[in-house]
Amino acid sequence: MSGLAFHFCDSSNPLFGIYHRPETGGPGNRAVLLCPPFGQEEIRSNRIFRLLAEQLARSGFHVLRFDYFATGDSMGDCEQATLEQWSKDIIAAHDELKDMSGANRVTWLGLGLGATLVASIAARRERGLAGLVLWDAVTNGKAYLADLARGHAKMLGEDMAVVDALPVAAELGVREAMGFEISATLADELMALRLDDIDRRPARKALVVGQRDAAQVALVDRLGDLGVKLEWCEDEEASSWNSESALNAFVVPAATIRTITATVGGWR
Amino acid sequence: MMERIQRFGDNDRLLGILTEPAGQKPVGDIAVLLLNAGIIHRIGPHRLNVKLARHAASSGYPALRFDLSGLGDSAPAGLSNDFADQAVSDIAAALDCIEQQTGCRRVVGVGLCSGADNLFNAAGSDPRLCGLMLLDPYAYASFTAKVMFLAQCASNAGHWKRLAFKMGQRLRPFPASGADETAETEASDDDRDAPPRLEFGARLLEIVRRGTRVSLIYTENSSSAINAAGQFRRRFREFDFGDSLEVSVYSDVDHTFTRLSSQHRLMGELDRFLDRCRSMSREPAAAAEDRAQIDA
Repeated sequence: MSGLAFHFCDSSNPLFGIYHRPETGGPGNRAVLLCPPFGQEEIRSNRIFRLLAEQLARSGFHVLRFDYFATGDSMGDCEQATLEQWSKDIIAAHDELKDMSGANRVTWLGLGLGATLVASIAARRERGLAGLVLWDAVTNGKAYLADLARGHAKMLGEDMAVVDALPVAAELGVREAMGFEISATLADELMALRLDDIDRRPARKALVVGQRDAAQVALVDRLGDLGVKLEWCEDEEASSWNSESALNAFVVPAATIRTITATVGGWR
Repeated sequence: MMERIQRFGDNDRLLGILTEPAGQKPVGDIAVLLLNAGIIHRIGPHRLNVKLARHAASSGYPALRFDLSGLGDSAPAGLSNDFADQAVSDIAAALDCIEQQTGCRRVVGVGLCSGADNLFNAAGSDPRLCGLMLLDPYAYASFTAKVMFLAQCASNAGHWKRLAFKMGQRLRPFPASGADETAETEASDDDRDAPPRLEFGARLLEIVRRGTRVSLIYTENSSSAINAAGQFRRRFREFDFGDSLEVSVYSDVDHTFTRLSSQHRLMGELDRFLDRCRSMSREPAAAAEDRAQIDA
């Protein structure tokens, strides 16, 4: 049940992953790749991803959850992280999952920035995915950076009203956000990140998870215009994972996990 | 530097990552053990355990970060053990793992908040813990500390507001219980399941007398109880801890070392502490045997 922990990809900079074998019968040809959010959000969501992986495995899916380069338990220092590398890591994880499982129908699930990467990559190179799950996707990188800056100030109990940019750890030559290094490259990539400019259908089907705010509505509209068959999970608890209290208590959006599992399970 | 995944403990329930120096024998036969803080998985708050582990390995010290039973990717114990007792068992299993994989029988434990508590509990029975770096461990307020804290808050409303906010963020696995804010008490000045002051002092004394070096580092999060290093020894005046105990107050550092500068400060302190532990003249087990003979 706890999954097989292993290293994969480039042996000099291996990625860390945990593979969950399906527990029940079923065709055995379906798999889900879980793509985490960034930084503090990754920590807050770690337990949820484990529970989601276990639930999916109980429902007959092969599942791989992993850490991008320079995050979690993967090799690399935080300041080495770039979106470009993480995009390559998702592809590598996808290939690894297919090799390990033999599955020919793979769903990509991304949370936070992971959802943004998943949608962007899938739009650039459709890989015959069974579908996408986009959970609280970051739709605008500039706004996301501002959120990180405010989150940093809040974490330190500082006045968020005067914060307009990520602080610089001068002695280290990088910006910082809630305990994590943000290199100039990563900051530039995030600044340029937008989900409303994808111009190819990323997958035939998608489940959008999260509250119905303007950004998510715009995302759904865009995906709809591209011909994606969409469903929307608006469980009240869906975004509860991303809170300060999630660091001190096991905050688990159980209903959301069930919805995701049932929806993905119904995709053929 | 290389990292290897470790499964250990009963039925290989526990998951850890062992970080090892590249192609060299451990320095001073000492390794580092990094514990969960609260319910955060083994990478630690802000990936701090990963950073500390890799920093230690770059200095020649193997380091194991792992998940206690039921946390992160370690399976629950399946027994009816008290959480604290199970943590002590898990730490013993981790020390076994370190010894089997690296040959190191001397280990410096690093723990934040509940991690500090668990290490403190384990050190009482496992002499392999030759050093403890405890971040925001149990704190026992003195009158002086209270006065200084209140004075600081009175002179800086923003300071009070910030601390009140951040105290609510402490990494604790247990629900809050009220602490006496008005006077010097025998209870710990936080809402953790802390031993009474004299018991804590006695257990700490036993640990240092056995030969274990202890570094207590209090951040601004503990500032209502301790806000100057000298307050600790005065508060525990009944005990002569000698120079095996160091107490530091990082008054400008938050509970989880959010600022990168505080993380790098901590890495520097870890370097110095590991050097001090390495200079110990004998293994702790031998020191314990000597002590037993003297006491007999």
